[in-house]
Amino acid sequence: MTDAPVLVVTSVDDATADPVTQRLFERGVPVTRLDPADFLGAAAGMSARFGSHGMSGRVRTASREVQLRGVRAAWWRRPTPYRERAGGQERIARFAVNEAGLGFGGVLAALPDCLWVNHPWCNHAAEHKPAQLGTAAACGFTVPETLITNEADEARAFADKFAPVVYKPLRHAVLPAADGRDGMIWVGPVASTSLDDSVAGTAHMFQAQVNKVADVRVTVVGRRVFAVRIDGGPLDWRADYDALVYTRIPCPAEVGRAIHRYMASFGLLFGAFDFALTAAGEWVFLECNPNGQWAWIAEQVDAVADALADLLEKGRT
Amino acid sequence: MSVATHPVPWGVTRVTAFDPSAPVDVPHVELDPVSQTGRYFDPAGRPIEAGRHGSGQVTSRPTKTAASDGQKRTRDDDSTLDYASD
Repeated sequence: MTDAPVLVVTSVDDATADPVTQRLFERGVPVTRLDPADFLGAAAGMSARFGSHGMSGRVRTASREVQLRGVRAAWWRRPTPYRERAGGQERIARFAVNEAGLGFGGVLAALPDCLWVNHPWCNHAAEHKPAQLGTAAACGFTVPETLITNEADEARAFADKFAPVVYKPLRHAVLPAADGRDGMIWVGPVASTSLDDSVAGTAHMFQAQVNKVADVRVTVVGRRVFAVRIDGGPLDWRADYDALVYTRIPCPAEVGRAIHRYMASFGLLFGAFDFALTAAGEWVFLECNPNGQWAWIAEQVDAVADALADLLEKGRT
Repeated sequence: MSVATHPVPWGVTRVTAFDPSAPVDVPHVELDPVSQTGRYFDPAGRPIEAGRHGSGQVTSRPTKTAASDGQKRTRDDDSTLDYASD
């Protein structure tokens, strides 16, 4: 058995990391939790050396020291954004954040012989919905008609032609609501008459609404696929968790093959796919979050945590 | 065609406020130096018996895909690369 450590890259209060970390600990796998934002200040240290030998050096946290050349696997979860720790005047803070991302983030991204779940650059590429939709179609998924535009005329024409259509932002965002409180944007129906010139204000994504009987969340860990049918939810099931009923279901072989083609296209070992399930039994691709959440679904939390621990323990051997 | 300098995007008209009645108490979290898992404490400093983590009941960061349940705050994004490319 190797004593090469597993790195869990996340914030201290990321509860989803705990069941996996606990499993690795109980199996005797050396595990180090690292929040790269701790490098901004003295809470953690990194020194990396480069030369003809390649990269060497170490990372030091409050309770661990890890050699950069000996990391078995790394799990990129939800580290604290550097900008939450960068102080000073705005341009100076931006400098600190950029240097941290390119320096600390760059060193971690360059870890030799390390199995990444997922490599942060792969996550970054796979987070872009246009790339998701294009790749999904190429992998054989059914993909809803979708428009990304800043042109109101195009948006109205699309909303009329494919009615009912929905609007969904390209990334989950916290924004001020009309009353000043924090709010967010749920996926919701769009009337073409509501679309005006403010569509020019940025990129807007519209999608033909799938006539669904349920949603399906598929959590993928390496070759393992965990499908959960979600019933009882509103159009955007995230808007009312209390209403949701989860049922583990098998994933059709054809969908599974498309999922693995998709994962390979982006170089992912973990992914959270959302599908709309039609009355005819078709699984319509909505999106894949390469770093999606999974631990809130009690029906799958142990199975997914086991699979992640297996993957990280095995490393690249 | 007139050009507005900073038009407010149409998408902003679609924002819904979080539930105001949701609890906002955030536990204090420390890292267990041995197991490397989180240890949770209530605002009075008492350990919270969290049982198996991951169920989301005592977390300060949501385990769900979006914070609809008012757990203190959600980050405005989950960007993996929070440096700007230029």
